[in-house]
Amino acid sequence: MNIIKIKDFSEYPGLRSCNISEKSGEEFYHEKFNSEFKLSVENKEKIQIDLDGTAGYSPSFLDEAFGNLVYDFSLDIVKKYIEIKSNEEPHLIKFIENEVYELWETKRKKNTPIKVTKDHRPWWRYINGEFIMQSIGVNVI
Amino acid sequence: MNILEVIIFNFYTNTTGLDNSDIISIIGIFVDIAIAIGLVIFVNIKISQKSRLKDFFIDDIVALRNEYNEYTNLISDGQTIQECSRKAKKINSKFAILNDFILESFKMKIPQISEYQFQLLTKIVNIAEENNSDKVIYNDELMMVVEEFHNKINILFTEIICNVVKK
Repeated sequence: MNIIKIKDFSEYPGLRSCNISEKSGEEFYHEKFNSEFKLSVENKEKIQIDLDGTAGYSPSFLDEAFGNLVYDFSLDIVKKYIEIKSNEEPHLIKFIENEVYELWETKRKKNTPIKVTKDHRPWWRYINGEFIMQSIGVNVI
Repeated sequence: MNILEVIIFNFYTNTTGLDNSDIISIIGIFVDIAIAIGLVIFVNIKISQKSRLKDFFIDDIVALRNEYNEYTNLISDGQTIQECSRKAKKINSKFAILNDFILESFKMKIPQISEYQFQLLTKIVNIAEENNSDKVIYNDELMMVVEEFHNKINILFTEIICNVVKK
């Protein structure tokens, strides 16, 4: 199983967007999460996200990181391949699974435009059973 | 009975004029008294152990309630969100440890304050991000939410203390 420890990304995760804070959920998603998750889906193996070991989370960091994942890969795929570990703050798992997932699946179905606050390298989406590369320029300053 | 006991027994019966049934009754009375005293001491020890345990937990619960109150009092303009979430995590982990001990000692489930705390943090973050800031913006809306949380926490902790006392 592939394991991502968020503390390796930062011991002090930031807020939602790159234009507001360093080490944001947006940055984590585009630098690490998107490509690692794509790799796991391709290899048909689960990926574990370990939330322990950081100084604490802003809810918006988690919303942006896990939300974008649902938006790009769909809720079914995310539920199938992801395992969230949080022994220190188990309520975070509840928050992600009960609130973030549903909200972003709705955004995905409605094709609600996402906010991008920094130029990122192209990232993966899973549409109609195929991986496609996508790139959106900064649309929020 | 050995020889010595037979001699003592005969001595008592001869000198006091008590027959065997009287002596058995007297011994019975002494045994009853001994059992009663033992029972009282045992129950007393048990009660005082439980009471000490309750006092210990209540002190911890009160200390934790004060920490949550302190946390809400420290939320102020300009404080970084990371600082808020760091402190929240620290208090919540203390609460989780206390929760485990209370569950084990009193078989009592207590409300998960970390979830309320997370709702408060969500509100703090939403207000800050709406204003493109990574710092707390303590406006009227946030002030109301903080007060609401403060009251909710105090009610919850009072309920927890009452329930521990009742156990």
